[in-house]
Amino acid sequence: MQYSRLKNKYAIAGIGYTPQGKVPGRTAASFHAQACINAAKDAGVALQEVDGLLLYRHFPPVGEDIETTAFTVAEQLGIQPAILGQEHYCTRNGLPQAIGLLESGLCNYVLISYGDNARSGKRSFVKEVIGEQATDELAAYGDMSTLAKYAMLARRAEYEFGTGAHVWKEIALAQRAWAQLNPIAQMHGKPLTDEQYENERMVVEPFRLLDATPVSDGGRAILLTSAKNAHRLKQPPVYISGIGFANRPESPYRHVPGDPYSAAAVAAKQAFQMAGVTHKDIDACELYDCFTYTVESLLVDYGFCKANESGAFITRGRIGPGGALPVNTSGGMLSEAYFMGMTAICEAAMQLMGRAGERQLGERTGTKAPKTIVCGDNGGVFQSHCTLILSGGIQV
Amino acid sequence: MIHIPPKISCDTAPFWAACNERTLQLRQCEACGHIYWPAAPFCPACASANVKWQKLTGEGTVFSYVVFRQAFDARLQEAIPYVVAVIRLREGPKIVSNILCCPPEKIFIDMPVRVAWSEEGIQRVPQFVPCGTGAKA
Repeated sequence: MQYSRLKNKYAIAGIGYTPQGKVPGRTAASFHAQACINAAKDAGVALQEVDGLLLYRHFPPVGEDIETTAFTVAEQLGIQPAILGQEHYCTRNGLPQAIGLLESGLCNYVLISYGDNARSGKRSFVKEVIGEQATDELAAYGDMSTLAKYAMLARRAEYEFGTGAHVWKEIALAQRAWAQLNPIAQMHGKPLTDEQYENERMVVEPFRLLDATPVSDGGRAILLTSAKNAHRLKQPPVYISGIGFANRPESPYRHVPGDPYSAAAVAAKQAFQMAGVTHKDIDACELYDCFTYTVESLLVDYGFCKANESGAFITRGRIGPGGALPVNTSGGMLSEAYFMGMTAICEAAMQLMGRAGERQLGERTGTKAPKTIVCGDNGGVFQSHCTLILSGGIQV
Repeated sequence: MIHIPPKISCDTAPFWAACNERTLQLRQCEACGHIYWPAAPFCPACASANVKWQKLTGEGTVFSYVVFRQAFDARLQEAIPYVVAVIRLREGPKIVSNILCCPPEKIFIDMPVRVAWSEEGIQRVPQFVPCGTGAKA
């Protein structure tokens, strides 16, 4: 495997949180800055040592916000990193850039950051119309929102594989149960019942509102460095044991559910091969969950279950607290907070560092103490994917 | 039913102009025969620039569909509930459109459909109806 020389060579050394959920009166840049400050502090690295800053940037600014750029964030941090990136394609693109920068020696400490005032600013994921004007052909058919694109593939999967609301409900309820163990989750203190899910209003059939992630104010950052550096820092390092990338850029309307060459399937295969692990070695999954069905689709694409067996496999008993395959243990985007790929990766790192509090995998939640966690970061509508296999508690 | 005109680019303009003449045409590669949508000047199957416009039968089947119960734009409020579908055309390509003249609960995957043409608005839009209904959009 061409990536195998990178196995366990780089690590997440620090994680930065901010207040999250509904946090009015804040700019996206301020969330980036706070997350970065906290990630550096968490690792015990001076901000001035950070020589790479890669930030995810939403377009356009929403609410009262002004444009966020890598310049404005770096300025707020008071740093002059050699490498600044403002990447529109999320953590899954920040990771290979960061690894490339570290591997080439251009950087020693790279921060990957996310920040948005999406909830207070009411960020919309309807891109087919801006103002009154259509942006492409789809508005002419009323084909609005990212949600509808996922719903279209979910409907086809219902037909081909017999999935449906009975499976998606398990995902919604299991993740909500995890959120009850996470005091910073947006849905903490709001348990979800079968009846509430079943009675939820349909948005775009077959999806109910509860199949979709809410959005959040807040930010997240991780600090990446070499395993060698990470060893002398404050936190137990979380190693990048496996990583894989793939793109299927064609319109989601030309995708077919269960495709063995989907972006997620190809990326996962690469990551598992690099890490030299099998599904039995995986202690938990932290998967991109813009919709409930996305989680199902990724579990299938990753090879945890067959598409036509997802109903039997994906149960709250298996993926919820105390289950054999914990999934999205912070509550995920559906029930914790919407920070795109960072929600999953930060949670995996916290679990592997043993810092997840009441929801910590191991004795506290009646599961195995985690050594290996797989993360999935999906983009577009199943069009782009990064799989990350993280390991903790190992000597390298 | 839907009153939002599409954004038309120089690549897609001939498609939309043909729609106004009630003709469904897509790009076809002269080198490899691939028929594709949306229109682009190079064949995505073989990268040939030798592509032409090909008239299609307008017949196909429902590959998948969704039912909008919420309006994401004020102009869609009256249309709700409406159906957006991926239609697999007889000639192969899949396109996005609507299904009309059929209650949402009666639609099924693989249902045979044929093109019908919207009447209203500045730009005529291809939509689909179940085959054999004889209904007009």
